[in-house]
Amino acid sequence: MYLSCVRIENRYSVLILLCWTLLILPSCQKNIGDENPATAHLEIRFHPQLDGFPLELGSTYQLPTGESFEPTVFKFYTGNIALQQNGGSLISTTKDPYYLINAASTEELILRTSIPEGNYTNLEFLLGVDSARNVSGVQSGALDPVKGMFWTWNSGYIFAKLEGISPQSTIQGDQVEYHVGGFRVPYNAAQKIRLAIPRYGNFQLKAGQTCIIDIDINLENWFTGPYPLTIASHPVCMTPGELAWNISRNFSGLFSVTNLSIEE
Amino acid sequence: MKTIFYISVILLLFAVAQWGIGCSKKDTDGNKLNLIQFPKPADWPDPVYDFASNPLSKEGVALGKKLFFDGRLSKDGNFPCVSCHQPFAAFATFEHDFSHGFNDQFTTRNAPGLFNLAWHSSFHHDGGITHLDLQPLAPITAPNEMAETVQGVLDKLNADADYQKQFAKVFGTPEISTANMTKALSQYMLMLVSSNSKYDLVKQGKAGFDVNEEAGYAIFQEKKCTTCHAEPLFTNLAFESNGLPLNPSLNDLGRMSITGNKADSLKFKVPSLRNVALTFPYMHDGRFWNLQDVYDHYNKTIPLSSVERSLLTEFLKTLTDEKLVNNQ
Repeated sequence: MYLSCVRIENRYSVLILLCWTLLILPSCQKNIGDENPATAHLEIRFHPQLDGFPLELGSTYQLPTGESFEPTVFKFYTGNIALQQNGGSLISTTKDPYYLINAASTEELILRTSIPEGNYTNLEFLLGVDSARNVSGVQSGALDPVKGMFWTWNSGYIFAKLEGISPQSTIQGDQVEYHVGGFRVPYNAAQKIRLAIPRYGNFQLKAGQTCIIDIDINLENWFTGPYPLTIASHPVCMTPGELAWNISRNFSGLFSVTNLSIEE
Repeated sequence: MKTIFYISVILLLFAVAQWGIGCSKKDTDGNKLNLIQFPKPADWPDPVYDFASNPLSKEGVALGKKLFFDGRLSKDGNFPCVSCHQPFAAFATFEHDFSHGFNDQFTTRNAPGLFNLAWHSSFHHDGGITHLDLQPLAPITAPNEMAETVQGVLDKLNADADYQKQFAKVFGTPEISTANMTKALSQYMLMLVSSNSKYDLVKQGKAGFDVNEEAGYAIFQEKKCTTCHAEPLFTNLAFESNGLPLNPSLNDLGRMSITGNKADSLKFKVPSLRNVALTFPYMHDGRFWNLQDVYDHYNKTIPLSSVERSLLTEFLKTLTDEKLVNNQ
């Protein structure tokens, strides 16, 4: 009688020991298994150009309008990056939704994200910030208002900033300041950019591989396209509205894919 | 065998305790955060602020109050939020059409009183700001107000160990970010609920209007003031034009400067009439010094006899909330 009791007690003890082991072990573990095994990497490298040369802030360039322009700041938000599958549907990248691209530093011209493996044809991204994030309080990360790409008195992100100096400017100090943004209809300046990937047609991206896409930004097209813009007529755009929206209509002409490579 | 059983029990308890300590980010110093419920007055509409994104706590409200009164949020230390939003003026600027800002500059609009903000979904007279958490960024960075940068404020606050400790307690991390700084300010401002005026006590059956106040309330309703100044907030929170001509020295087009829509020209957000006896001068640019000026302006659309004006004024005085003003 006494012996059998001990045995039962013993069995329970082992069970309880097992229980606490199970309980303590997984409790504080980071979710290592989160990364989808079928995930590939996507690296986008932006290369700002002006007048056929790599952009150097502080150098003077000739614009297609004949005006002279010395850019000092070029930044923009990009987000909702997706690749289009050969069949048609868009596959979204899986990391941060938004990135701030800045011509002032080589590192800030590269964005790295991940995407499920697949057979892809086109690249799509938003130049700007979706309207929900303009109205839902203070965001963090790339969208933190501390980055200086936010209008505080008329809530909303500056989607793209191009500043510089030009003798054609009519304002003090020959300044040129284009702050383009605004999410309110009918002047929502967030532009969906869709880029074909020439010469590659469609490409197979396998899990673990890294797809590197090089994109030229031809800044002269800021001034040409659906809305021809001269510095003399509009040296400044500092608020959301019609002018900002008009300038944003030129944005799809800024980008072109120059190279795609896949690394193991 | 019993020993193993007891050891197991002790280890189990230890495991549970470990789990609690190791995985909870809220209580870094072991103290519990005193969460509080938003004090929504009975029979009022639901507030629009998303409290789930910023749970109110006693400590969060106290931290927000400390920030609200801290001059370091401004460039030269002289202009805390409270310099223009004074408690004794229902958080407007007392007796000023425009408020003073950095380097002897003036603002270009009259500072509104701050209360019942949980019911607002837009801020500023033109509604340009879409969220209470975003609101402090405007005065902090305005060159004629606090004249700071957001980074400048964050650097100053992060250099203060007491602030870091308080932020760690409220938000789980000592590092002070834009989001957490503004959320703390929101917690304080959200708790500025004005619902304890004589009018409120009358509505709750705890007091009675005198005969003049009663007559004034009747005029308020008969003259349809309530169309725009709707109870219980005494504002419909909409943008309206009340016929004020453009002030050419300010050229303030109001709502149109935000929407770009001509139909919104000279429309401004309807202010609440709560605490109206304390928030003079009136209108978005403070052009009317007292209620008589306001009645004169409305004479074309809502003519009132001098007796009616006096009675209406008696009623409007019952909207003053001493508890809000004294509860700093």
